[in-house]
Amino acid sequence: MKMIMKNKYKVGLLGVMLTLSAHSMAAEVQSGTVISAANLDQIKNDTFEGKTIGSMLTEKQEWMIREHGLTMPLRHSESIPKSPGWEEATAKYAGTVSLDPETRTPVNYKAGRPFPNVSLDDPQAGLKLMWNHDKSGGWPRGTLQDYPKFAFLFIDGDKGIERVQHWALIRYFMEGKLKGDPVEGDGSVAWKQLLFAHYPKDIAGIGTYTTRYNDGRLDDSWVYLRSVRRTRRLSGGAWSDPIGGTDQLQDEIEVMSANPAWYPAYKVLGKRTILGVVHSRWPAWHPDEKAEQAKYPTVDLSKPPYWNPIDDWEPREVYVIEATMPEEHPYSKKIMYYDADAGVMLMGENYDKSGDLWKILLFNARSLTARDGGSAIISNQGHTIDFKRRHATIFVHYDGAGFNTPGTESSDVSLNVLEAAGK
Amino acid sequence: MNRNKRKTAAVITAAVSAIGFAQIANASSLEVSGYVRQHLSFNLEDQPETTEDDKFDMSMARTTLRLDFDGELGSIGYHIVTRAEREIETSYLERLDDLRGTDNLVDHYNNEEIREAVFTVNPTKNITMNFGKQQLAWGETDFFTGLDIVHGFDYSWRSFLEVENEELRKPLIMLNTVVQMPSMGGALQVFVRPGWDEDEDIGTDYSLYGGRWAGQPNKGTDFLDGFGIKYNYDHKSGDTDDVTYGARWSGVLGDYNYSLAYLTGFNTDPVVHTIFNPYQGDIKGGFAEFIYPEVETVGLTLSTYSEATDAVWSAEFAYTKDKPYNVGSGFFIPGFAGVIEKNVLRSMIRMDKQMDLSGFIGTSRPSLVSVQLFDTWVTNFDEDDDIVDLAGYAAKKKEHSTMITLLMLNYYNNDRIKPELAAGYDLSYGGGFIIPSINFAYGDHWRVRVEADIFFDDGDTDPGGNGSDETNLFGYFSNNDQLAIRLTYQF
Repeated sequence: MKMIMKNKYKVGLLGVMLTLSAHSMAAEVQSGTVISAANLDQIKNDTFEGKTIGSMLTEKQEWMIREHGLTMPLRHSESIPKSPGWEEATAKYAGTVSLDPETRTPVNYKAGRPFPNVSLDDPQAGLKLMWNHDKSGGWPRGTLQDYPKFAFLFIDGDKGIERVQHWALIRYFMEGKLKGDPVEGDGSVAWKQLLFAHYPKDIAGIGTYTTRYNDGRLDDSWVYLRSVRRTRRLSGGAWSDPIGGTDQLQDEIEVMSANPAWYPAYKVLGKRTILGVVHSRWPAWHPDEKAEQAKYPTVDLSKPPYWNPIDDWEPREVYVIEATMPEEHPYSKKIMYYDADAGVMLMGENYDKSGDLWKILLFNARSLTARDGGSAIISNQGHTIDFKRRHATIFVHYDGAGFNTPGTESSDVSLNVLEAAGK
Repeated sequence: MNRNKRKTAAVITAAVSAIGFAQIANASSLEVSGYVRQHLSFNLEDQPETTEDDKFDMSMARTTLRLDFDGELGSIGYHIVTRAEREIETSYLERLDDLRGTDNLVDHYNNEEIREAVFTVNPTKNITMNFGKQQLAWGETDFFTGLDIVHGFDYSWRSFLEVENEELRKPLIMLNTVVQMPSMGGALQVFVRPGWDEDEDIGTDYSLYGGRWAGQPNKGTDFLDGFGIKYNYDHKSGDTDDVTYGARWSGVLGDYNYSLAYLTGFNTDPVVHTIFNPYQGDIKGGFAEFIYPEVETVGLTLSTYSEATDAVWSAEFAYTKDKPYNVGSGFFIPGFAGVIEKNVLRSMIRMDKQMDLSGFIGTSRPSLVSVQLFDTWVTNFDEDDDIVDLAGYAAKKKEHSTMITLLMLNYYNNDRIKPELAAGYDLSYGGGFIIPSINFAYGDHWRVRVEADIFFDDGDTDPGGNGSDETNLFGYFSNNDQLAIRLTYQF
């Protein structure tokens, strides 16, 4: 009996020691800790905001840390402010929104989040989440995106920046307005967009005008070609082609910019916490700086592969959604990480027709105060990394970007404006 | 300095002064951009006009500096384009000069000009007024001129081969007003050209002085100074001081883009009229002169995307009343027997299609394939009119002159390498061309283009002029195969 008691004591002591040991191994890391290939194994079981680092890294994030030099400075998570009236608009209009079973598009959408209560058991959960992304908080916007200048960096994974392009974008949303009538026009148009190239000289003056419709039909697009001083209609079927010479496809703006109905199927793989960037270091582009690293301080240009972000990562709750691509699309599937609070896509993984990883998209968002006093969220920088070709395209914003510029009207974003702007 | 030149100089002076004042007052924005460009071209065929073998000889060594100034002066926007060119007289050009009996051929190629100086104001939100020297490109087609006839083109130094036709179009001084009408789904554009341009800015230029792009067999033959056939810019049928104007309504109706246009202007191609049968007035001097008669044109364009063919379809129709043509195929100088006016419908239909050829040729994104059919129809054609297709050649014009072209653009390495193929075939008269080219982009500044211009001619004319009864468009281009290299540093 005495021996039994003694053994019980030893077992109990061992348990306490193991518990203490495990506790000391799973220490809570501090904000500012930088996850890298050098320390990942040491801190993988440590926690941040109560969750282990390992559990918050996707398989591809861990692979990029270990194999491609990605580092992740940690910061504590914070909710993203919403524009006044947004929650009220969701409450007011969401109840009347439904999915058209034939077109797979929302019917009677006006403003706010169209499907605020998506059950993961719902067979349409993936499609509804995609429409949430598309229609409301999903697009990082107010009701007008006004980006007078942003840059595309073309990155060679072995050599660094090979080219730079400067562009301007203005996108006018015809619905989702939080002031006055939420829908402008007859409700057939979702948004209209002008996009102009400014630099370098051989593309300067090229512009496009695009109209996105609500009924699922293909976009109407036109291009102004300065070299011949003429506007031409573009193919509506080009929505899955690359944007110019970039690595990014037309439907990868903000990771996902296709009309959700154009993809045949979605599957929600789950809801989890990952590390993402929604308080990106603003702005990503300092045009007046001379040195490359000072000009683009949030892109690690100091060492190969020259495409990694230098930014602050925080725990974010995301829906993981797998999209099946249509036959004509260059990918077979996409896996997207959709931030449940901020409503933006934090990351995308794109797979080729053989099912092999082709590209990873990392998008770093942040909140901005709109020019009408509301709140908007912007992708400060977006990385499209082609691992097959070891090449990347990164867009970066400067601090002239804004939202809801007073005085801008629907007619300011039109085909005729595209033509009139051409010189 | 003549009156027109004084006016142009005034525009230039005003433009430069305004910008200078703005900069001094620190009240404007100014962006300067441009390029330095070196063109080199080499003959790929011997030229029968010369006694030496010209094959592989350098036909062009041309350096271009272009400076653009864009900005705002308070509420006035400005856009100024300046360009200067200098050429080296290659040994081949010296041989042409010997044939011409002069030593000034490069003087025709050397130039400096303010190509554009346009100032823009918006009196209201929907009205844009552009005043100054500028370009207006109407219509859908780039390769041929259907409705793109507000301006002439300078085809004298590189024919039609320069890719960016804005570099060849000859800008004019105009007031160009655009009124947006969102409620009607379109815009009205009205231009008035007050007639202040320099004479030389009117009409399309060909190498009539016997340069490297003179039609065969006329290299080294100077019609202007050698034969004394001058341009008459003050002719009764077309006085460059006359006011010309036009209006275009463009809009979207359903899935279709459309435009309707009416314009007056100068026949873009010159016609020759002679003492043997003068056209609307006397000859100013010599026995013949080139004129650009005024014509009226109405036009229509359409374009739409077809989901069924996954292609963009475009069409263009331009009807010109009383368009002048030269006649007299059997005259001792063909075409010099007179000028006749005919009603002409030029039409174009084009399909632009993105084709993913990456699996076959390894491109990094879908290729653009563009097929275009272009027809010129003399609607009141009469065989007895004896219209010549080209003045100076005996080949007769047919009721329909039809051509088909193909353009294919391919993209590699994030658009840093772009091979292109342009080809055309003359369905009416035979002959054609094929132009393979490749463009390279190095960083932000350097661009290189290498192209071969290969013509499949049908209907050579012998040196001396015999045998021109089958010399139509691609007979004109016979013996002109070229290798061309273009190196650009842009900023």
